Amino acid sequence: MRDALTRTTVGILLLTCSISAADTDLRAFVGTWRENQSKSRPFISGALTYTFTAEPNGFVTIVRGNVPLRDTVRFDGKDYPTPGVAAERFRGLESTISSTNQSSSETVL
Amino acid sequence: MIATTRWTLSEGGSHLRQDTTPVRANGENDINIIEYVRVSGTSTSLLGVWKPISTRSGAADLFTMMLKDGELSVFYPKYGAVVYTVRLDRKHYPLTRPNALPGVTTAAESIDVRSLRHTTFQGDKPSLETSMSVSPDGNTMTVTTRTPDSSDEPSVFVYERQR
Repeated sequence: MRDALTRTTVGILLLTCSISAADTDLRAFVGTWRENQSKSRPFISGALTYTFTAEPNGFVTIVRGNVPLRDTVRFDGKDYPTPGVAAERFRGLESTISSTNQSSSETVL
Repeated sequence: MIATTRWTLSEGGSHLRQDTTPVRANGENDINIIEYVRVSGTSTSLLGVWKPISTRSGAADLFTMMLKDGELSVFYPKYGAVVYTVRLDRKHYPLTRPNALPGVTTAAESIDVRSLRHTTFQGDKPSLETSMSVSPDGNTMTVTTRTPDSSDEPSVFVYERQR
């Protein structure tokens, strides 16, 4: 009798623990969600700098802070692979860049 | 090609505007605009270091979360793919989106009954921590992102459930 009571108590405790633990109810997340841009507050880190550096071979290296990508490009409208990225990803990560004269200031490299 | 980026120098060369137009699977015209201020370099050249000061997107973010076998799949119509999955076991899983960077994984854990946290890793190093919380009425999801080991303020994004 006492053994049965102990087992019952342990069973209730385990059941209680499994329910009261802070397990996330993933069903609450199911559905389609659209951002309300008027309520969002994006912060852009000052560490996410862009650095353009002229290389002796005529290429320009573009380094994006905090992002492990280093593009090497020429501003000639042609495609160049991103160094260090697997060959099968070249097509997805190529840069197509044209010199920019759209602004009132001329871009000089 | 997955995106085209145009950089435009301001008159005087103190500011730089970057317009990025990704190629979206759903044909959405989603231009992201980031404005930078010059940190170094001369006024007539792109060469130098640029610091971001503002960002904005042309289209509201949209995604669908599906649940199967205890795992959430996060599908983005603009990518036409499940970008990442959420399983609350703290284990690392690779991103599932096309063109995902090699070595990038995510791991997720429970916070409370309506909140979870998932962390993006580059190798073993956490690069982005994202907390997602659904309101008690189930209609609003607040997503807070922060860079680990950084004093940067978190970004807060508010989503509304689509019916």
